[in-house]
Amino acid sequence: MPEMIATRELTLAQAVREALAEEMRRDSTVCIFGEDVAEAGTPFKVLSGLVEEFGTNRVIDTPISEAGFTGVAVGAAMTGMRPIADIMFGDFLTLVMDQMVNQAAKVHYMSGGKWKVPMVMRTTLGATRRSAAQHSQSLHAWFSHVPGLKVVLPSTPYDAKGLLKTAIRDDNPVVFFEDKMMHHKLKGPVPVEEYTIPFGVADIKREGDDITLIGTSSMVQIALGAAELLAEAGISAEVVDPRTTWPLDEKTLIDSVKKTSRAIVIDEGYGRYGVTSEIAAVIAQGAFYDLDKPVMRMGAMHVPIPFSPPLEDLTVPTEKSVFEAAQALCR
Amino acid sequence: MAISIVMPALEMGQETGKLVSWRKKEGDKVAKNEILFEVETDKAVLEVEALGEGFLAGITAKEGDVVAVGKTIAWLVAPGEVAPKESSSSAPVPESKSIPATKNLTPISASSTGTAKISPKARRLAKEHGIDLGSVRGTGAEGEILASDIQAAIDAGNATSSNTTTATTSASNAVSRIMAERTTQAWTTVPHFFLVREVDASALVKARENLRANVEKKNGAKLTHTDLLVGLVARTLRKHPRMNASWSGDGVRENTDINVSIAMAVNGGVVAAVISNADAKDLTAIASQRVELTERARSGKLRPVDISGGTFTISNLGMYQVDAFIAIITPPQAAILAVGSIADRVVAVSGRPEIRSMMTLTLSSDHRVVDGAQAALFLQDLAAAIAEPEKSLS
Repeated sequence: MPEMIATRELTLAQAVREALAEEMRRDSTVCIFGEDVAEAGTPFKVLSGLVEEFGTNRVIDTPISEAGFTGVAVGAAMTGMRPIADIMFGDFLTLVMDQMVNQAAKVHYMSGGKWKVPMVMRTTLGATRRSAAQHSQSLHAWFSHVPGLKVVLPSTPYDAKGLLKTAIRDDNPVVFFEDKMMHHKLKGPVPVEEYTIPFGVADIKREGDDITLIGTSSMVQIALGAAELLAEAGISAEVVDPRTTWPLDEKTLIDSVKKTSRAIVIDEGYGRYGVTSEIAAVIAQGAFYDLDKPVMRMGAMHVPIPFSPPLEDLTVPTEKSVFEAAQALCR
Repeated sequence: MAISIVMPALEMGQETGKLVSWRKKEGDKVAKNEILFEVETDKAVLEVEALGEGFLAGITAKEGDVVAVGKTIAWLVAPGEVAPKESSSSAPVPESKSIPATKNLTPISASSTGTAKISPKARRLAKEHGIDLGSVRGTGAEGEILASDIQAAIDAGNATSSNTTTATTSASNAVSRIMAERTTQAWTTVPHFFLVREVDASALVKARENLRANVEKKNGAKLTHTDLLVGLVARTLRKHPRMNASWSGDGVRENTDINVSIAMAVNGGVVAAVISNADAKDLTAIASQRVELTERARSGKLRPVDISGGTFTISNLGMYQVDAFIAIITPPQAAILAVGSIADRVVAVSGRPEIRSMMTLTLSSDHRVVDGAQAALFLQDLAAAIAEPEKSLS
């Protein structure tokens, strides 16, 4: 794919593909399982070209059987492979919960450290694709809740590549969520040279003094857009991206809020019992004596994501709604 | 039926009053209009009279207490009647080194024991800096106290404590603290602009010589240039209602009465005593009232009526040989006239040098209320009146 190397402005999909290709070249135990991952390159065209380079022995199309091929991936990982299970829509994660929660997350612990499960589950999140209630959810909070799983939420092509390489090399099961709206819409600089990004290190995407906007995945770009609007209104917003919900870089989040005294946590999952709840609690505890306003949370409305575009657009935070909430908090 | 005695609001914007002394004791019979107690407020100690009659009972404020305006501090009861208990505590507001924040937002009554919302950061900062939360006014959207409010109190406290380190008594501390606060507020919140005009005061000097014997004969008061200026300014203000107006926060309010305040130096500060309806008073009335006010100010006996309701201030430092100066407006007034000394100067009159008694007037105006041209026209008419004082005052 010489055109990518020439420009080095990659889309999120290109960055993910490049990470997979590099790791597959580097390590022959890395392989991909999933529905339509080979010739089709997934419906999101993230994997296009991989089967041509690595063949159908390493890029394996499976039947529509998420629970089954996830079980295969867990078993393969336990026996020395580094499989990547591709769950097309994050909504289908409901089917893999036993394999991930009861098997993958527990094996290392229950075997007294004799077994490990170095697998990656790549999947998607995010609404506004007009994909209706069963194809639009953001269910990363479920996995963040379970000990033994690591959860990664990249928000830029750079982060996606560096974090995916770390995920593949990690000896623990990692669930890697990509915002399906970002795959081809979001472009960003990605270095030519090799790099990885460690888990549990938040990234300050924009520095500011008046309020901290903590965004994950799709909501990082929303927060950055809101910060731009806030700057015009004279409010200096800091945008912090935890990048991994587990392990969670609590210190960077707390330090930022200690500086600004105000925070909004924005995540596309459901707010109730969600990622925003956890991060807000971390801040409330760690930065309590520096908080000047209650920590606010913004997430998907507590409803099934509607198919109707005008209704769907109302269910998730937007630059405008974040801007307005931040402005009210700074009043 | 018991009559409640409350800490009166003697001035606009007053928040607390310090009870200096009770003139009556618990159980004393009090007649209407008898003096009950003395209060120290902004710049003065004032006597407060009883609004009804009865026996003084249920005193809750001691001498020296600083009490929130509107708090019941005692009752006047009928014989045998017991003073009612107020449901809310009427405990005095503790005197604190902090200054209420002066941001112009919804005030709430916050007290250290009350229910005002305070952010965790604000609470921590207040504790670290020894700020009494009861004295801080919250500026949050719902009146909550935020870190910025505490910071303002810390800043104000620092400014004040450095001002008062050499003060000797708590009373003068309190007065200078209030004066510092009010002056800072006026200077930082009122958009001042200044017009300077040199006027020929020869006629004014002559008029005083002509009229002083007559005034002195009538009631013994010595006529001053200030008296003449009060009369002339008041009459000129009739034609310039904007100069006699106030900024009320959402618009300009023209005052119906013309009450001229005269800035007076007193021990430990300055007071502005008021000649009310000065435009309708003749020189004799103005002079005698000014003499009375001066005596009251010097002895610390100014009453609320003596210092309230001013609509325009004259500050004259001519007696200190100051040529000209710029004065700070006293809100909600829109202007203050700073009067310099009258001195003989060589000036050009019709192309020839002549010696005239000249005086420099500096008018400070609130630009929210008046424009430069309006203020200039006022100054022009005033200069004309000063050129013909006797005609203007007749």
